Amino acid sequence: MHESQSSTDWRPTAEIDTLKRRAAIIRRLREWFYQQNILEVETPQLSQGATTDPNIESFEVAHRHLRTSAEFHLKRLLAAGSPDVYELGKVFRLDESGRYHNPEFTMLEWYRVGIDHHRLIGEVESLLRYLHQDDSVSVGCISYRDFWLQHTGINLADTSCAQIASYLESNSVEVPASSRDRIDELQDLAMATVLAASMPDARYTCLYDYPASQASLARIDETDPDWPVANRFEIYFGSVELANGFYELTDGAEQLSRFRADNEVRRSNKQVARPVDQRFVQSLNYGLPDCAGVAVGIDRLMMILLDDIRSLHEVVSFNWERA
Amino acid sequence: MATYSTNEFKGGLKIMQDGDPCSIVENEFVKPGKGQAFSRVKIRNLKTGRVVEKTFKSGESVEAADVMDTNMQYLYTDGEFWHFMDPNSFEQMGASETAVGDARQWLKEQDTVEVTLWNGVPLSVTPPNFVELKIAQTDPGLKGDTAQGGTKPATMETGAVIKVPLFVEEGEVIKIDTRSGEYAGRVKE
Repeated sequence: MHESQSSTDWRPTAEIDTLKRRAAIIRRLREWFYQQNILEVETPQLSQGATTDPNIESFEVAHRHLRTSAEFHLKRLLAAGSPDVYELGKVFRLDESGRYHNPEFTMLEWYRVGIDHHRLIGEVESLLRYLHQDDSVSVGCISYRDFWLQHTGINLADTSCAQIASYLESNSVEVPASSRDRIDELQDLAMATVLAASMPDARYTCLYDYPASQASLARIDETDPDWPVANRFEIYFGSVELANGFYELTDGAEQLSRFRADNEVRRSNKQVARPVDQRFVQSLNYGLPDCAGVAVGIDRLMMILLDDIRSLHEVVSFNWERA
Repeated sequence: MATYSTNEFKGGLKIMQDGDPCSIVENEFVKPGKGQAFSRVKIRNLKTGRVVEKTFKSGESVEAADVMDTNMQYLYTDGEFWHFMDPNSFEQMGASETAVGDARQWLKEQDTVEVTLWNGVPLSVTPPNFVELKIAQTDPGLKGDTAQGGTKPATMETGAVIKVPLFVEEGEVIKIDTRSGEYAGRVKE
């Protein structure tokens, strides 16, 4: 009855029955992509370039980097004239471990030529309906700025670090000294704590049009000069982030300068600078068609689709500690 | 100076905060989609016992606290200090009233307890979950009382006062759960 921790340590962290149900969902997922006529591809996991994003750390293996996303290779395929593509595979992020995180996890990414992020949000919704086998499933959309206004009363186009910090403290979230004068970090902390918790339970919520400073690989829309936005979206289920998508930046020079700026931030944070994926930049210079792409955390999706799951470890065969 | 990075945070890790040794009770890794990751931790101040919530940026380091749990034998008290001995080195040390805290009522000479040392000085004392103590004084139970029913106060040899069933008598040795301070059964000699 009472086996010690060490004697059961060899066992999978998922129930075998959960793995069977997971496999059935993956099969259904591939079926949906087949119906949409989106090509399944496999791209390299070990790359010479790496993400420069200061908030994502790559594993280094023999002078190469394990991918943190399939994005660069998938866009290179589109630039080379490939039809719409998707990839279902493992990605790796150092030090991300917790109830909803495992450093090695399964990501689904797909790219659609000729559509923007709003139409892609609609596609994610169709996929979710197909997987839930329920047409009443819907994704409630609100802009990042309106979401903040609604829940905090803060107008992001006209705010200060002090205002966000005091909002956090009034909601009993202690603010680290090193984040006090960094507006993006303060927003991230609020999003990961108070704001995530205020999202409607057990429903999909989509935030779109992020602050331009959080554009990453999305294009920036400067229609409103007081509030330029990144054409980026995130989809949450309850308070858990499930997907991140962009109306993709296609300007190679702009992308390269963002990578360099990232590396500047990394140096000032005493993080190692990462090698810019020059081939990816070249593909943008050659010409990436107008497209939108999204990445979905498949293990988290399993947590949503399967009942009675409390931790991500219960939907992966062996978690980080037992691998 | 030893330090821990946030990715080493886990329950039980001993760190310094605002000059006091603390123990991590719970660590939650939070990260909005693509943004900055944070560790939200519940930390118990080992001096005051108070639990506070703190936020650390992922990758930040904190000073490690030189805190060690050791098993020591309780010897005696001189009223000001409670004296303990390391059974291996026979080294003795005195713990202050603050360090001993509520554990004092469960301390019986010769018993082994957990003494937490900070920089080599006793910081706190944790009694075993169960201790066996002799009843120094309790009123006689009434005839006809059965195992079920009421309780009466009893004073232990250490001075602790706990509720015992009516059938338990003075001079008997009983088992007590120190976490709740409740009677847990008679000890058959």
